[in-house]
Amino acid sequence: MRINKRFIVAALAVSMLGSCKKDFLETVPTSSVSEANVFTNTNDAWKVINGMHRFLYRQMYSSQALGGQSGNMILMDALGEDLVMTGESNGWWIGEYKWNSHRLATNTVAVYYNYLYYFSFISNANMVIANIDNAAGPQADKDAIKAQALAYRGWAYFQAIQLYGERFDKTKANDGPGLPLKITPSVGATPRVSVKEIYDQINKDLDQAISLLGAFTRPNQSHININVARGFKARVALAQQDWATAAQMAALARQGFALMSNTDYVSGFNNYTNPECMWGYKQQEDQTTFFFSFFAYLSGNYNSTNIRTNPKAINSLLYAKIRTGDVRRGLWDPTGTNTAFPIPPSGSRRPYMNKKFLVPNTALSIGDVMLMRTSEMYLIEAEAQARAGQITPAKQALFTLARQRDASYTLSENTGDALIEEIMVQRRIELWGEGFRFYDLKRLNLPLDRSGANHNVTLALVYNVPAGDKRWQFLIPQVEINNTLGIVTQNPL
Amino acid sequence: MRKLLFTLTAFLLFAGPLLAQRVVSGKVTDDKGKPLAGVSVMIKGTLIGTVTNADGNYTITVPANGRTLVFSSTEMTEKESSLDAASKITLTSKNSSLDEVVVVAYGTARRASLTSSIPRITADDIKNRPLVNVVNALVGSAPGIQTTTGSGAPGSSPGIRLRGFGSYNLSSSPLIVVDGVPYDGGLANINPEDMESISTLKDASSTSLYGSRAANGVISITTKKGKSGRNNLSFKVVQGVTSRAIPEYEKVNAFEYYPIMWESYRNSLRYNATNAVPLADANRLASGLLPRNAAGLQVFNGNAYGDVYQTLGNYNPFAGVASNAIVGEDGKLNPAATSLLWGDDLNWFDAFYRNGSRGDYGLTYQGGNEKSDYFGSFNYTNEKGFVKRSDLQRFSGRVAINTNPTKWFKTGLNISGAMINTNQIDNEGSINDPFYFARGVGPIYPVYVHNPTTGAFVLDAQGNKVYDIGNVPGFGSRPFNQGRHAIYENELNQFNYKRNNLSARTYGDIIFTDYLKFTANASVDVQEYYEAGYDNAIVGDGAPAGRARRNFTRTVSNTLNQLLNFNKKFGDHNVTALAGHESYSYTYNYLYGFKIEQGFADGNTEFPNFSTISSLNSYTNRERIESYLSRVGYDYKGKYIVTGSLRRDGNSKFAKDVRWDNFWSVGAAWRLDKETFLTNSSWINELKVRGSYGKVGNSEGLGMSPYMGLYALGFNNGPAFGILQSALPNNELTWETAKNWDAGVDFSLFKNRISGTVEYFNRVTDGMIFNVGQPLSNGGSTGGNFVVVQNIGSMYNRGIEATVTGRVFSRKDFNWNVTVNATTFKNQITKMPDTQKEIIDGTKKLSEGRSIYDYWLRDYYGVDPTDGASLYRYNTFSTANCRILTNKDGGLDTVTTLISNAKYIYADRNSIPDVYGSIQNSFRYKNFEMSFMFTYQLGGWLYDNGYAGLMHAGTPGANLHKDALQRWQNPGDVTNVPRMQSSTTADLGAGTSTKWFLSATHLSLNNINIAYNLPKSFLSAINASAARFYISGENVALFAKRKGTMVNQNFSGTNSNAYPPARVISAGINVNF
Repeated sequence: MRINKRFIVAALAVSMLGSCKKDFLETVPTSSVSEANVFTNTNDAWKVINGMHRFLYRQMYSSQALGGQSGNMILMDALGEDLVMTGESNGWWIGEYKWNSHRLATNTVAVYYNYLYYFSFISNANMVIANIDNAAGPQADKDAIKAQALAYRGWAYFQAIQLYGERFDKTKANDGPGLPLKITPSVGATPRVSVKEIYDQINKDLDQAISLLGAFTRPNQSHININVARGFKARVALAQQDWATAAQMAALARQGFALMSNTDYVSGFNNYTNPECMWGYKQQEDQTTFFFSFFAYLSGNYNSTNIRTNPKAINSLLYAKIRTGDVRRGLWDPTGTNTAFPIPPSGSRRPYMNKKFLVPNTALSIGDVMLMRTSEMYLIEAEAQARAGQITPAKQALFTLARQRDASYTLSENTGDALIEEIMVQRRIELWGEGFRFYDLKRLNLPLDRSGANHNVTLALVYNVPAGDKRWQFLIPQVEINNTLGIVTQNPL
Repeated sequence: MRKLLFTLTAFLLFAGPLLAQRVVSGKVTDDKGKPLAGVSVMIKGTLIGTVTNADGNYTITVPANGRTLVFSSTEMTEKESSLDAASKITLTSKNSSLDEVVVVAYGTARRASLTSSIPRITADDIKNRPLVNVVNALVGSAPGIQTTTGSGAPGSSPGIRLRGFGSYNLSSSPLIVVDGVPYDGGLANINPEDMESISTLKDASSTSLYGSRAANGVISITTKKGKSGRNNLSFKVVQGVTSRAIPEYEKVNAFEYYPIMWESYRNSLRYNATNAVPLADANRLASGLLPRNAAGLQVFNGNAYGDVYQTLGNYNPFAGVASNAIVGEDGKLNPAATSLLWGDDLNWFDAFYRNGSRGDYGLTYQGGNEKSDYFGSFNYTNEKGFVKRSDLQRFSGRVAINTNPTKWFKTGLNISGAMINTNQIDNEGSINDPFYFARGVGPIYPVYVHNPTTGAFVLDAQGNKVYDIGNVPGFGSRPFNQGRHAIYENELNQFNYKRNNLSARTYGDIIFTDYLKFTANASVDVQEYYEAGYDNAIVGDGAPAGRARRNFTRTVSNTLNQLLNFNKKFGDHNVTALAGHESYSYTYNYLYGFKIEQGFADGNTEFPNFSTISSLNSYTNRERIESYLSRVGYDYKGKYIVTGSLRRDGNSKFAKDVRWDNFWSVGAAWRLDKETFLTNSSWINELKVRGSYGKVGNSEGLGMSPYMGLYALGFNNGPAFGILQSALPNNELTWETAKNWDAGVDFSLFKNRISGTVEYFNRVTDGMIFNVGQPLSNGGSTGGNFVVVQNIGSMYNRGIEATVTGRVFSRKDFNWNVTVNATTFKNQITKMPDTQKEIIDGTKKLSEGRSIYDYWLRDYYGVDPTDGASLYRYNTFSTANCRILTNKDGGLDTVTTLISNAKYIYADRNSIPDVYGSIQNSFRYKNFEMSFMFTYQLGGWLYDNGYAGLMHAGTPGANLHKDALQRWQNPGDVTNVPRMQSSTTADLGAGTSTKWFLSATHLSLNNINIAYNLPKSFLSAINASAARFYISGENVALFAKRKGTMVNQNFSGTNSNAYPPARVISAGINVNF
């Protein structure tokens, strides 16, 4: 009898202790949110759009040179002839300056970053575009969310195709390999489609974005409204040599935006409430990106090794073309001895160094970055009209901008190539350091020519690259070729 | 918890009626009549037992059905006796390993009854080795245990792998079990002095009861308990010195460096792809002989050029030589350059080395009576690394108490705490790592600023030397990490962490019939980690503002289990059984803050002294496992043994439908020596064959909710809340499973003069988890492109391990034992993801038929004697960069000079040794003991990153290996070192390729120690029972292929500029009272 009792106890013990609470094995992450919860309503879907804006200024891929979009901006000028490196410093951007990095398939700063960064925008946009129609919430919100996603996708493809594809030439078929075309969320490998197909998609996305953005009033300049989307469209048209669309879109885009005053012009390009800022981001202190920052390399006054020993200078030949009396002439010091120019403690002074970009607080590497300015729209309009042979509107657009910078400027008397050249010089001066030069050289089929200026050959190494050379195409990252098992193919080595 | 209490109460009520039938008492002695304390006395076939007291006496109450008593202890051979003959028992010293009692999953067992091998290290084995980390005791201790050397940084642990590599993306480290419960604290928390034994569980039979966590084997540590009848107090003092165990690479000096850098710069002008400068002009430009512009640059063809002096940042270390006359246009160093201006200030290592030391002080006491026992210890370790700002202090204490107040109830508590306080150098491998910096900086750059003319130190206003950060205004601009100075930064920065660890184990045993026992275990391990970091405002990453970070984490693991043990003999049939339930809960809290802009520069690195919050983050990770477990064992006359186990685990890491799985094993053994045809053998003392097969799992190393598609929080745009895609989903994800089988023979021959084990094992990992890298065109997050975690591959590790111990001499005054062990295994991937048949991972490529450590590298061909170009086998033919050469057999080889067009190949080499193992020798002569152990590796290949980094093609400012003196210089030079040319270092020099292979074969004198036991006559004078002096060396010597190479830094064979291992020479004394 006793034996039986003991077995009952044993059985009882095991059965009682054997059961845990049903949800014992249910755990949820605390630093992420499940995909399933994101697109249930527009309120939450907005958070993805905000995240994409923030992606414009985030630390990328553990590489100090990459602070979001500013990584692309610095690279585009490092590859050009208007920005001059004055010292090896700690090596950042020197490999790029030498035209080395973007031709190394394993390079992280130039090749991997530019590819993955823009495809990450595309992938996030694809999730929004695929899911937003089924989210609960006002149609106006759905439109604004979808439109911004479409605009980002168009913009991202445009940024990337200019690097990885051959130059778009409207006189040709443009059937060379472009990029993988991803417009829905999916896994698996996608081959590259032609440059033309990518441009077609870009235009389709931007057109749809523009049509959906009509009524959208944005909370701040980091959002894409109809002006910004039209600005994108103008840039794209310029790259496609579609002068009429470029001029029309640029003119529409700048509506409602003024040009900044001379006082604003010398205040450091670090405030996105600048009247010229059509699109940009504000970087607040607790969202700093440390050395992953535009101003950690391009500013005149941040106390980083890179700036102390490699203050960025302007090409001396370009500087010589700035008229006396032009406010922009004061942004660079041709002597390298002007002590009125701010430098970090124990920083070097070099001839032609800049004070265009300044950090507002020298203890922090950050400042706001403008990604699209009114003046660019005037320049697009002027250039497109001039190239289309529309001399008068070209001169007028140029005049509005140039007069703002230089009170003594009078309407240009140039025509033809001379007018185009004048506009291009204005463009190079106005947009110096803002990430346009490589794109411009490539879209215009111009050679790189750094000779005869203040470039130190020891640092620059490469100072002539013929137009149309294969080096105008970035290599596709090796890891993309590996992860697609070669479905994505490499550019000519 | 309430359930547990209820159950305990229930047991108390029902267990009461167990009344004894007969009281037996007696005395246990050794063969010389000396009383033996602490001998276990058990009633055979039951779980009832007691232990002998200090005089060897015991008393036990035997129930009516009790017939036989079993006497056992760790040192003595087990003996059985009838009740009538039990008053006087003599035990003989154990000379057979089969009588050992070893730790198994959820219990202990006699080695004889096992169907697996369980190598074990006891406290006695390491008593003369002053270890700070118990893991070091495992190095070389048994076959199948592979370890890395480990860093020399105080507090670091070597890596461990058992029987190959079980996983690729998840952890391949064994499960650590302390006193029966999986342990999440670091092993550095455990005072080695507290360790009673470390057992290594490698095969299916021994590991499978740990189920889903045992795929990589188990290291099971048992801490000391009190021994009844023996009150004992002992203390130890160990004092040692530490120093760098592996020397630095051989590098060029200043006189050799300048001409090489001249040549490198000259060649970059001369061989430039566009606008090449003619040789004579390039020579003059490099020397600095052409006219200069206002900026001090030479002007040639309208463009500005620097010279070698400027290229090297305006550093001229030579006395009496003008800066444009250091190297002539013939490329030779100016003959007048015979003395250095700062020759005594070029060794950057000396600038941060110091005399390392290690002190270890401990006190332990233990004792008990028939009812209760206790153990207590306190230990203090103070280690100063051989480099500045690298130290560790550890305080640890432990109390263990066991008591059995009634016959049927036993309980105990084992609590230990450790407090660690350590300073660490900055991130290994980064710019502010002093080892990286000191190795890499060119041999002309001084640590401190010097007057460029006189060479005298430049002093600041207080008269102190000034560190040369490479861009001090008015002085040179060092191109190597300009503006940085790892040694200065190391001095100013702070990286300190404190770790508190509390471990508690308690249990209750209820013996409620003589063959049935219930045990409840509860444990908690709490670890708190507090990290304080500060980057200074003067130099480095923290400049100009200064910044501080604080990181606090708290890990709490709870394990509760309830076990029912059955043990009964039916005639010649022995049956054991176990059934139980376990729940495990793990919680990890993380809190991180980061502020910048320091207020007062007064050394205050706390947050109020900084003005701007730049990061504030927290999260909580949880993991839960619930398990049901069971085991059965059966043997017939101890001759034929079979075992089986089954465990069912559920894990919170996986999606609901795939959350549960079964893990199991079966095993069998046959004691041939008990068969009649062998019992009379003159030379076979023991012979056992055994085998087991089973399934275990692995999920260690998977992140939180790895199956979910996720959006990361924290992408706020200003105040607007933002999220972004961070992970793609996979609801199918589940454990990796290992199917292990092994067969072995244990033997002891010639009166136990030779004993050993030979085993074959085959571990098959199925459902191997791959982080399948997605196309970049599918997006990614700030860390990189997306990966999807998938159970997709298969792999095996199969091999043979053997250990043989020989008692070479065994005399009264002298004995000498030798143990040699060896392991050879093959690791091979048998299935890869269908969409990703190949994964390139750094220097390796995974594919079917290859190991996880097979190198995949550009195929280096050699150096072209005509122009010194590095040549690689080509990938795509291009006239621009390919050459067709005649090889020595007269055939044609197509090669390329462009590294990005080089062909990748499997070089049929991997980092896995052909054979590894150890040779251990121990001697005893009268009162002296000596032992030493060599570990060895035969075969296997290293990828010598450290060397490759010093064999670049002339990057200005970076140091070079001596081998750079063999560089190509003139057409016709036949060499393996290419042309120096600073502009194309990747193509020419340090690009990743097969060039940097190095044989990993090596022999290491891992430890040596000599001990002297003080004679009894002396001891009685100080009232001590034993005392021992010893001298010990760890990491004593390394014999390897290349001076400076870290041969055993990691399992993948790819070394880095890490903190080299430390050699520790120490002396100690142990006294027992």
